[in-house]
Amino acid sequence: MKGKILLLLLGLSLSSAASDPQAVLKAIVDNQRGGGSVRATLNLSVARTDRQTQYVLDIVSDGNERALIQVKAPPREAGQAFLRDGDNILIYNPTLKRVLRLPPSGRSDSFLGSDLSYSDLSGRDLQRDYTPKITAEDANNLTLELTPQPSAPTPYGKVTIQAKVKGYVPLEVTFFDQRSQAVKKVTFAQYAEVNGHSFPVQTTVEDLLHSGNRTTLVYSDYKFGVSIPSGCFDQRALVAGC
Amino acid sequence: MVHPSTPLPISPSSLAALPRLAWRNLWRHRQRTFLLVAVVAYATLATVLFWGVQDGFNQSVLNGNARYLAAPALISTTAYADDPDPAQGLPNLDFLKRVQAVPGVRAAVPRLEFSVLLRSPYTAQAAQARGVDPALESKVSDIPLRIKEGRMLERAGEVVLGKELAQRLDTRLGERVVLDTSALAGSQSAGLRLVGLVDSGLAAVDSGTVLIDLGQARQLTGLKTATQVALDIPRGQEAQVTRAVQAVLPPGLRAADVTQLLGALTQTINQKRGTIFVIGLIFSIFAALAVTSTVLVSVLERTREFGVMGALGMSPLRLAQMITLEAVFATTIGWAVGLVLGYGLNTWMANYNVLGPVFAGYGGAFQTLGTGGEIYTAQSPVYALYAASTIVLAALFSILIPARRMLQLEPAGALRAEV
Amino acid sequence: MFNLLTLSWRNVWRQRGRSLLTAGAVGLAVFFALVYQGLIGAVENGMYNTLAQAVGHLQVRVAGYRDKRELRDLLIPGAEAVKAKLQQAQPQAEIVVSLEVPALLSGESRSRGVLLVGQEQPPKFAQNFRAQFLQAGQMPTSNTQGIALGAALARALQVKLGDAVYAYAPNTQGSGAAAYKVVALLHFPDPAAEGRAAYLSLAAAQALAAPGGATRLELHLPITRYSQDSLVSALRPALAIALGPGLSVETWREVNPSLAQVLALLQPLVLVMMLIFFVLAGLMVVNTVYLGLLERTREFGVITALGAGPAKVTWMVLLESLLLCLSGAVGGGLLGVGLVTILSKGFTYPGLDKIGGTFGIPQVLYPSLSVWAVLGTLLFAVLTGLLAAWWPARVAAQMEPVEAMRFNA
Repeated sequence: MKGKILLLLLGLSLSSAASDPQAVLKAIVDNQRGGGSVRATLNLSVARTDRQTQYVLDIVSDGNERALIQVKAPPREAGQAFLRDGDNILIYNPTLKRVLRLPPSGRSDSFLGSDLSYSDLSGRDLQRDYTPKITAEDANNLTLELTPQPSAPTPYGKVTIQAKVKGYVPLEVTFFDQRSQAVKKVTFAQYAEVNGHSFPVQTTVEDLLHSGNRTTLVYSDYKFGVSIPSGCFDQRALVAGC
Repeated sequence: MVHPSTPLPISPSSLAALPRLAWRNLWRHRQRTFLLVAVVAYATLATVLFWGVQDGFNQSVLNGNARYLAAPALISTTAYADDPDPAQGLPNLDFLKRVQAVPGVRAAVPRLEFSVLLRSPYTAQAAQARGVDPALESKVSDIPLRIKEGRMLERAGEVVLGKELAQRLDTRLGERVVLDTSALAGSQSAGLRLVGLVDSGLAAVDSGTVLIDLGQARQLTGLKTATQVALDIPRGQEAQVTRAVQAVLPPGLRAADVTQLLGALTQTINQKRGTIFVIGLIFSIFAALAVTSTVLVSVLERTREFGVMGALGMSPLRLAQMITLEAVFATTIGWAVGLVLGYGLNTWMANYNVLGPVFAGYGGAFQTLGTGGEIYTAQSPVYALYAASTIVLAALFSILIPARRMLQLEPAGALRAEV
Repeated sequence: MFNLLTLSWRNVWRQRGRSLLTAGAVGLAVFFALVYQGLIGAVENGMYNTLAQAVGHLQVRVAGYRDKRELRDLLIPGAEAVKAKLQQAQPQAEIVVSLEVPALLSGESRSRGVLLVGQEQPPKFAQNFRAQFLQAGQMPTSNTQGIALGAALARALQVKLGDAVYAYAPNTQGSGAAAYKVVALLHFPDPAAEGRAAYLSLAAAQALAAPGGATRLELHLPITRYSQDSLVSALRPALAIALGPGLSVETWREVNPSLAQVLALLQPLVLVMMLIFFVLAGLMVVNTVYLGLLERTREFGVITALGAGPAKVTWMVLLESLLLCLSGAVGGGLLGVGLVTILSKGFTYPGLDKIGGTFGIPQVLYPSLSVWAVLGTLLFAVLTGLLAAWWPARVAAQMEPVEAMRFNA
């Protein structure tokens, strides 16, 4: 599920070892949450067969339900801001000087033309939707296969996660459709040690159905575990920043 | 010459005898009478059938569409018409029992419509979902009958989609689609298994249908009742029964029938009727002329006979009256025969789906109108009036010309007449 | 002996009243049949014109547009140049330029995803559009930030005429967002269409999402008849070559197959209506010819008694009827074709422009007749007349002269 990606971005960290798959996945999810709040700058690079666009975003998240994203560059797009509060997504546009509420039908629209959608800003738990199973494990790496629970709100047939056995460092997440065809791949690179976790600074999302469509996110200036005033997640912050 | 005092077999001077004379004349000239009756009967039959088929076809389109896009009649709050959102849903369903008791209401079925986003691994589509009672929906909608692949939904967690919509999502039977919505209960999502594909031929249905379980719809939207109650009403009684239903509804609720629900379509059909009316009018005028020419030619043929009758002492006025009566009798018989045949055929086609298979021969094209393969003729006493106006017009033409001729008739000249 | 033709000719003139009646009846039948067919043709042409006008006879888009989702991929490269090429290839055609922008449209409290359509069309089309769909207000002009919304969409956004709406079209080359004033409400027969309809001027849409861009060019050819539709498919390959690769040229049929099906639906109805009419026309001819001859059985008896064989009498009657039917048919045919020709330049009648608003009802009707329809109608009238004459003639000719002379119809 696409929804996982930003959650992963917004504080992925894996630590404690566990032997059964449920516990492994729980560890992953706990670590995602465990990173807690974050302030960071994110370089978003959207590649298409014929062009490439670079965005610089400022991100503030409480590591949970709320996040504020502000576009700093390129100049044409600067000033736009996105606020996620639970399931609601608000958009601020400086040209209009107005806050717009994204309707449910807009959730699947592409976020800044990337391979992420707005609904990725408000993702759900992998743990809640899937049943995990360890399908391969050697000395270094393990593969976790996630099968959707009955009636889980995910369109995918299967998700596989490749991770290092040591510290459960994520390497790659692949999303399959219900015909066992891989449709999307997320790969991680450039790990940084943050609060004792191996945090992937670079994430690449690849659309396997449209070759050449690729989105890369690179974190910089990240500060985890900082306290963030709740004023960062209201409409004033959306307009003026925080 | 017959002596004036000698009683004639038929007394031409007695007004009371005139109808008898005219009636007997009809039988004396059987071929002529038959042709006149035939042309009048045909014109009547054709007029009745023309409008019966025309109106019936339109009505079938309207009904067909209603049973796909809405229902024969729907109850909702008055606010819902302006803002079709679960927030304007029915406050309660206590009125159901009373509505079901209204004569003509065969079923009253709650529905919950709300806007959703459907997602597959490949793409997403916005749509309007309809929460239905799987067991009852087929009473008010033809959509369950048009599930060409798979089956109707049976429980929560299942979904039936229009074939086009499923194609656009690239979702196949047995696969899961995700439904997202945001209503009274806030943002909600559910994974639903695709169990049936609707293939109706009607673009709006095939690209828009999303049926889910009513209970699940209530849970997803947070609306405990329904947005509408769909009514099943026998064909042709929609307007009248809807009025009766309105009378038992609590304030703030509105019952709307087919024509109100599909206002735009109704309007289009009425306007189309305008053009068709011109064609019908031309037909009527021509029918009147055909009857006139038949009467005219048969009167001209009988100039010699009229001369004899004049010579026998029948005044031109009486002669003219007699001819008029003959024409009136013949056209009335023709009209009656035409009406019996026309309404007979019309009734047959109104009760049995005779036209459906005929039109179905033209392939999928008719499906796009949403008649669902069933086309019935309409019945209205007005058609008899349409036909009668043609006949009256014809009778007037045909009486005026020959009767005037009679009034100028000279017995001696007429006897010699070759016309 | 008898010269059949002279005799028939003399008969025709001897009984002038009856001859006039018979020929007149045949003429009327032919005249009405032709006018009737012309009008049915007008309804067909009218539907064709309305359907073709909705999408253009030919439509130019980016090749493979159906699979493309992003506006950027749907823009016609060098739209202005393509338009110029089209105009050059078809100087007398009218071209409608549209830019369709997927956008989020918000009122004060609600928002919906819509496809904003920026349109630049010749005045005639703009007027038709207004007549068909405008419910209230004025259509937006190119120098204002006005927007026309489907009435259902306006209800969904909870906005009224004069209110502001906000369009958000991110990731495009234009401003990406703009505020508009609702200046018009539109009414569409299809409720789903009404729930998505949002129209801007082309200039406003270009400023929002794609300066100088267009996603669709409609080519409207100066044709008014369904029978001319073959021109459209004939023109397509040449245009496709002229425009070069990367663009798709589609006929109105391909753009909207379900609309094309609606026209196909007309065929069986037209057939039924023609059948009903021709039976009546046949009855009229039969009645006048048959009844006109019935009374003359006595006369035929006399002629037979004078030495003409039954075959001769039959021939004489047939010849006479042929003369009458033919002259009637030709007369009626000339009048009918004449009237339809006059009307075929387009006519309207009082009130038609008012009710003409919606789908399928054009404001101007163009009746049309094919050569085959005219010939078929003439043939039908004459053959029916001859058939109606043949029967009484044969009966009379086979009677004993005395019997015939005593005959009383």
